[in-house]
Amino acid sequence: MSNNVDSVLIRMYNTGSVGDCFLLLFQKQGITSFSMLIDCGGYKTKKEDITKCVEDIKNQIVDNAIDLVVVTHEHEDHVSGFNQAREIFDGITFKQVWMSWAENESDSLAQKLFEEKGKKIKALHSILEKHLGQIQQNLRSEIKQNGLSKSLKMRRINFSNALEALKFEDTSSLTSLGVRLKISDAMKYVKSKSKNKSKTKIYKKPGQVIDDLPGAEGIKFHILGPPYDTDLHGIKNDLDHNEMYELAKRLGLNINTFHFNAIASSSDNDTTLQSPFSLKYQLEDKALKEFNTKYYNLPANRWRQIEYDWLDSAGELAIALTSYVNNTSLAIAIEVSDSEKVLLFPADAQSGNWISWHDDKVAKDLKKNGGKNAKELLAKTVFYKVGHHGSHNGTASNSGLEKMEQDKIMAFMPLVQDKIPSQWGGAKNFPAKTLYNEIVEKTKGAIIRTDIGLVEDKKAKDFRKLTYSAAEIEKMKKAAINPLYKEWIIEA
Amino acid sequence: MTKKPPFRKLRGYAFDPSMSLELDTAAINEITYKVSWETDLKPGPEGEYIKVVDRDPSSNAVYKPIDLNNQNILANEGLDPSESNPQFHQQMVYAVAMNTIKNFEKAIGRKVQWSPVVEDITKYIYPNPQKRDPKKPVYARRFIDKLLLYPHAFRGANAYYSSDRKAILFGYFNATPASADLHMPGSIVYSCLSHDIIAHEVTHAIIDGMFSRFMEPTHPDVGAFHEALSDIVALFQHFTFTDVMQHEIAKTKGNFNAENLLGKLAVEFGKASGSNNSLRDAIGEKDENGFWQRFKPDVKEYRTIFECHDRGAILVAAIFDAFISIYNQRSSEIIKVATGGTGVLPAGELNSYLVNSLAAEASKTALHVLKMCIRALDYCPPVDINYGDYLRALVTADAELVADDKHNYRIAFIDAFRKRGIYPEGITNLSVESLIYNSDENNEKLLDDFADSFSDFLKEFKSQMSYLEDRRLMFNTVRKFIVGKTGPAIDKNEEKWKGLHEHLIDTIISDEKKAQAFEKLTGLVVTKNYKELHIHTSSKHPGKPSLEIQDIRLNNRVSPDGNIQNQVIILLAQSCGVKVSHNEDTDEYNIKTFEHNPIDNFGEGAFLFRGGCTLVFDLNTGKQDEKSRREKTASLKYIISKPILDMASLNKKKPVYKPNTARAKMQYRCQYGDYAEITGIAAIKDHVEPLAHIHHSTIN
Repeated sequence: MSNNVDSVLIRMYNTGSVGDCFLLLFQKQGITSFSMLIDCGGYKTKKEDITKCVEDIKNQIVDNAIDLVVVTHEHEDHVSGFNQAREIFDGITFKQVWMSWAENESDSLAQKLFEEKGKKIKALHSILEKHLGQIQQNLRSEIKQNGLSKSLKMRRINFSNALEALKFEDTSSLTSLGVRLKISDAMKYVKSKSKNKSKTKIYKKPGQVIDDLPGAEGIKFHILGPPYDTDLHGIKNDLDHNEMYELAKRLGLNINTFHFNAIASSSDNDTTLQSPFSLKYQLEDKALKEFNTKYYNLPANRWRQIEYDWLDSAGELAIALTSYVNNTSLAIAIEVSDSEKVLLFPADAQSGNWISWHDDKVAKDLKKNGGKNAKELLAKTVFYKVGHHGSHNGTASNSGLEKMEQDKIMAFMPLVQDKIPSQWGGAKNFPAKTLYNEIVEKTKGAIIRTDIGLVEDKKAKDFRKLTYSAAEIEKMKKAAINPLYKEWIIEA
Repeated sequence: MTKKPPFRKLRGYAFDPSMSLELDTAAINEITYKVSWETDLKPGPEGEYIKVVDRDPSSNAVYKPIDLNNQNILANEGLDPSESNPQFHQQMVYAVAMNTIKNFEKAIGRKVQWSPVVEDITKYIYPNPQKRDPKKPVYARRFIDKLLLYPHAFRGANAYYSSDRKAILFGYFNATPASADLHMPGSIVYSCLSHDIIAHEVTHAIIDGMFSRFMEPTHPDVGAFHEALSDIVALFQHFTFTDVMQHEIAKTKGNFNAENLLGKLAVEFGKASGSNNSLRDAIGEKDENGFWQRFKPDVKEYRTIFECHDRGAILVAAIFDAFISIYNQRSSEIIKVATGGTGVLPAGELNSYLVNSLAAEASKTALHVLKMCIRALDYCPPVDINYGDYLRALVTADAELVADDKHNYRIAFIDAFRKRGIYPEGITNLSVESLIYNSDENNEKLLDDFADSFSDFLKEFKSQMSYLEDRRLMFNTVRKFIVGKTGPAIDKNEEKWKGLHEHLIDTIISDEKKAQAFEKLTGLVVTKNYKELHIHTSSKHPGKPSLEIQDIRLNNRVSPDGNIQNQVIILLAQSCGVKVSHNEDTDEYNIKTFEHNPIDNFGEGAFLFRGGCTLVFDLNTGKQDEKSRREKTASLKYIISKPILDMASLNKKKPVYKPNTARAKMQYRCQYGDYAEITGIAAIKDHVEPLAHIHHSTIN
């Protein structure tokens, strides 16, 4: 008789806010032989809410030990639980921890990434703060012209959101122990808890296939991302124009813009950039003063000034920086070998990450290591953790959804709509409509959301009726019975 | 005294600097713009229409303004084209912007006006704060003399027109390595040096000056129309550069195929400025053998493509098709003459006389099509335009100016639109006759009546406007004719003056029967039933509905066959709050009106809903005045309406007053429903500069 895992139970927890927390129990004849936790966090979530989830996790696992803890990337909505519910985690053993290579401080490429990101955040932060201050001053001062105060107000919101998004990088939250801990502290904590300290075991690179974990016999873990290329192209390649759903974003965000690089190279104190023209063309001294006092700064003319337009992209840049980190997501495809069924967990990977799964080198490495390539894995996917909470940039089309071929795919979408952070563009854009429609079509309406359970719009219902039996639909509804989590079982 | 020169010659790029690096096009990339002479041109340049302000906030710098009257510069036809000299950039934006403005003026036969700034003047009207009602602020329109052009406004691959500031902001950015063959990676690209970008943005500003409501996302076509017309102007201005055309035609040698040549050029023009991939997709591309192929238009396009640039490209492609068929016809005659009737050109270099006449013909045709496209604007509805409306406007405008369509230009346009599945609503067939906006023959008596009551007013308007040269005076005169003495923009020197507002009330609105008839013709509410739609009550005329008179325009053009057009165009609009809820299961829309408050933010599903109507009065074709026996009265020739009322309900035996279902539904779908994302409207909703967001990716 085979000693292989014969079913996988998946729980998607409601951490009280937007966030990922997945417990996977690999079972043999109903008995858990291997447990896996993928992320545990919620954006600005309450300690009580996430604690309930961790308590449930503790009750599910055997001998207070989790065989494998995966932290996909360093964002609050994926790791806050390790700070907020630390008391409980302290009582749980992490036999093994996986993170992406980007979290490995001794990896030179990771260092490069840290450095670039840090510099940019710092520079952007100081520029935004300075101008936000000016805007607030302007708003308080005499300017009451319609258009101007409207645009100043909008910019104030825009810049504040951008600053908020930058903070998102390493925000702190109150822990169960009553101390404030940062997101980076959570990362350190998880790393320190790993029983297995080998760096090569902890930090994963694309192309790796792990099939020798005790208790997880018959399971192959394929590492797909984040891309490991020397120029960090894949990580920076945030939005390929044809790749991501949502037309709106086709219009925006080029992380390699001049502006961005210029900001990064400017020093902390100097928040202006170098002019592209020779100094001799600039107005100076008296002439400059005259320009300002006799024309540009005259109260009657100020509504037509253009002082802040160049910073409008700052908000987008700040969000691009967070997508930088999203792109460092550890993306995993879990293959249940007996049935060849695949469970796909892309975390918050964005297009650069998704596209890189199909790189020749990654494909070859996956094969060489005894696995399947990304195309084959996608074709066999039966369970899909919807990327980035259903945002337009969390699911790729050509290199993702369109390559999924199975008739019956279950999609779990970790989304609590009314908790979407404002700097993500507002709750209305989650799930992104275009993407959502594509997923409805692909899964034939089998989508379960954290907040509402099985989706009940007309299109989804119609699709379900065509594909699934009444009993199957009933099963989907039952997946959402417990308010604390949504549950699904994949049989091998 | 010497005569002032007609032109100021200024050198500049025909495309953008990158074209100077390609051997093929280097020779023709520098052209001399002939800009109409401005005597009082100040350093900036700052002239009658525009002021170039070279503030670069990201570098915290201001660049010295160019003085085009400096004798060294003047004698040299402007500064040498140069990327590294910001003063040349100032010259370039000035030259192209003025060129674009003048093309508009040539077509519409009057001066271009920028959209006025709308100001809250409550505190001037009610100096006593206690008398002010915060829910009813008073707004006034203020004249904008100069559009501001900021050549180095920000760093980013973008340029946009800001309606809030009446300004165009041009960005500059690092060339991305993706186009390493054209731009050196890391070198700086200036959007203000691209002819197309400048012309495109200036066109946005001009359209906004004519139709401020075309910025409102009420139909998938509205935003696309703004984009399309801006592209059309940029594109056809290229074809008017004779030097460029000569160069290109000579290159074809004996293999002259107008369709392919012009199509290829259109795409290359687009490529030069990095803009408009959608244009390429709409017009054609090279096949695998390197031969250029025109795409066959698809009748499904209009129903399947919604993103505003892609949809705009459908209109550009349709206009372009019409241009090609017109040019084909005109050039084939030249070729026949040149080849003794065979039409087969000899192999090898073309005879230079032939090249020149073919090029001249192309420029002439381009200018002709460009003017047609611009003139049509006078026959567009004031709100919520769609492509079908525009086709009717094109045909009507052309029929107005040129009675005998002996070259079948109008058929060429209709055919190009038909091939793309664009049909106007509410007409039964696509003949020229049915497309021309027809005044309703059943209502002849009524229309005469209306026209009669406006005759004196319109004539007075014409006589006061006809000889005005000063744009501010023109603006204030129009305002005076609109608001009369009661309005806030009062002209103190004027005697008691009755504006159109009062005139409408006296002659139509106060007469119940006439008011009812007026409603059926215009789709706007002027009877006391306005309250059923929650339309505001006029602040000056208690008990009467508020009605916005957007503009009064004089259309005074001379046609090629010598006719003098003498028309006065009045734009009316009306608004109410509408809230729509959509039941996805039954696909039913529930439409309710509410009294909107200008300060409120609308909630989900709610929006400001406008109806509008363009009235075209003709001063030439009215009947003879019975009293004087000589003078003609005016006739109300066209009523181009976007009804706020549901016309089917209004025309019932027992009229029901409710908002126009089809239009309200469409606006809901664009702002909140299934069109919001695919058109791109959702993405720009909360954006500070909506056009900035629309343009973001158009320049690479």
